[in-house]
Amino acid sequence: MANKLEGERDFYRQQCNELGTRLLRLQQEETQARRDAWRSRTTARLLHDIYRLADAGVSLEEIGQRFLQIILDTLVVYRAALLQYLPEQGRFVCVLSLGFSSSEQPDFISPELPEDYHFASSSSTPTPLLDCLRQAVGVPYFLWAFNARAGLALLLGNLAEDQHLHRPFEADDREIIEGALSVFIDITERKRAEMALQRANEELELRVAERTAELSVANEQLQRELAERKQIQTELAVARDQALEASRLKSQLLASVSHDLRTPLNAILGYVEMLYQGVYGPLDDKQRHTLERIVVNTEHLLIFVNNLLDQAQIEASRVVLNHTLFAPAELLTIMESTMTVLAEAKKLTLTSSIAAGMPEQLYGDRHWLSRILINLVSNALKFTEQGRVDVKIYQPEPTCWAMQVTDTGCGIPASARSFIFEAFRQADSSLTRSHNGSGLGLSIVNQLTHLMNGQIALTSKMGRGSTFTVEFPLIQPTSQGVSG
Amino acid sequence: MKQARALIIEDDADLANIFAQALQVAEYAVEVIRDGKQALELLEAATPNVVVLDLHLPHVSGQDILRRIRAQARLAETRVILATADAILADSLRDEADLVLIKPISFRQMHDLAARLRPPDTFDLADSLQ
Repeated sequence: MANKLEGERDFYRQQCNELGTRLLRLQQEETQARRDAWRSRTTARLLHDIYRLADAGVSLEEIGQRFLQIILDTLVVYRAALLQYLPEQGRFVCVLSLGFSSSEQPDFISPELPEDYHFASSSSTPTPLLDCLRQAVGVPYFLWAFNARAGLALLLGNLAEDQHLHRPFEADDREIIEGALSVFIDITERKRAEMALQRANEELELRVAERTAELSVANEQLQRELAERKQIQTELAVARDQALEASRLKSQLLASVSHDLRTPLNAILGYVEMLYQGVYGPLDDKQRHTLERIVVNTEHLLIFVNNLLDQAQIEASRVVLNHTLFAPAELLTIMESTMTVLAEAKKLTLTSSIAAGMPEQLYGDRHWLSRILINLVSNALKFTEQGRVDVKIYQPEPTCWAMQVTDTGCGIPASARSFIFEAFRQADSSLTRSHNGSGLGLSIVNQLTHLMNGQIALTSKMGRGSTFTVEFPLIQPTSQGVSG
Repeated sequence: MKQARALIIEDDADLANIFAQALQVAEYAVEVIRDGKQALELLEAATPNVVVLDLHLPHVSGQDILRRIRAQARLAETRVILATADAILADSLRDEADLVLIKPISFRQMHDLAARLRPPDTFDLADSLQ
């Protein structure tokens, strides 16, 4: 019986022990389940809150502060700091901190880590840093998470006296804050990228605006310049029209003045010549001399007026060459009819000759050719005080013919030869008075000669005389040009 | 031998007078007309050896007169001296005229040229000018 009771007691004792063990296991399992549930809930809340930071539309620093606040609130921690690892210095630097009092506020610059220090596993806490922190802050309990990709560490700490307010850190907590840190880094990177994009956009807009403003200024400038140019063009056109009109009026005036001068001069010359030639009876020496002076001066005046008319016609490009057949002697006859009296008056010998072998007829503009010859002879007579003026028509080569005027006058200095063919110039301006010339004659000779494809040559010796030669190509009449 | 005849058609009295004197000295029998229409009337019957013709004339232009002369067989031997200040117009008529003189034309010039144009069968009283 006793044995039976003993046996029953052992059985119940064993039963009790088993039940106690099962109860303990169940209690442990319940605690574990509670903790798991808390962890899940906490993690979910934490991550949810952190994700929402991204849409808060605040600055990066603000996001960091709020992140730390969320960590503190959720995990019920009193101090948190974000540390950035600077690889080139081998140190951590505090970026943000929350919960540290001003006296605790560490500058968080960690001691230099050994070069071979390895962050491969975030669970390995860099001991030198912890030592440093412990020394600086006096925070004995630490939780540490490190994200190697961003080089960012999250440090949580509680003071010893905080312990009664807080549960101790547990190994699982590290997983939570590692997740939180990772999400935070993702968010800040996204935020940074968004901000960079926004900045780039703003910059772009700014530059577009600047460029638009510049273009607008440039455009206005261009419009202004275009308007100015148009204005100038209009003014130029008006000025040109005025100049053309003035030039036309000048030519017209010159022609009409020349005509009005020539008609009475011609009459004077005609009457005086008649008297001089003795048409109305013989003259005594005084009468003859006086009439001779009148004839000579009137001839000079006429030559000048003729040259003015010719110059006006040349300037207005109104010289029309009219080619006809004519005998070379005709040029000499026309020349002599005006020049003989001038030569006689200065007691100069004026001769003219046509070289043997010259064609009986030349083809060219008789009027303008005789204007050339008259001007050359008039020029020669003007600058010759004694001796002779010889006129020769000859062929220097089979393909051309020439008029040559040689005088025994004062000669033309070499320095003057380049400009005596310019209008209104004479070799020596002081000579202008004593020789009353306009300086138009040689210019007209030059222009007409070139108009007829001719060439002009001058040889001169000071004190011995000058020879002017104008040479023209010998041209054959075209069938159109000859009629009878 | 008969005397050469010249007709001067020139509206400027002075020039007409001077040309007339020059041609008279050159042994021409000279008649002066100062109006284009009258000149045409006179040329209906007269056959001058030389006509000195101005271009700008009252009523009928020298250009028209020149054409009328050239159109008449009776006047085929008539030499026409154009005496004008209009060089451009004169240039265009060079082929139809025997001689073109651009004013101013001197007494001696008119005399010498007229003497040269005198028909060979008319008399020539030595050159009285030289």
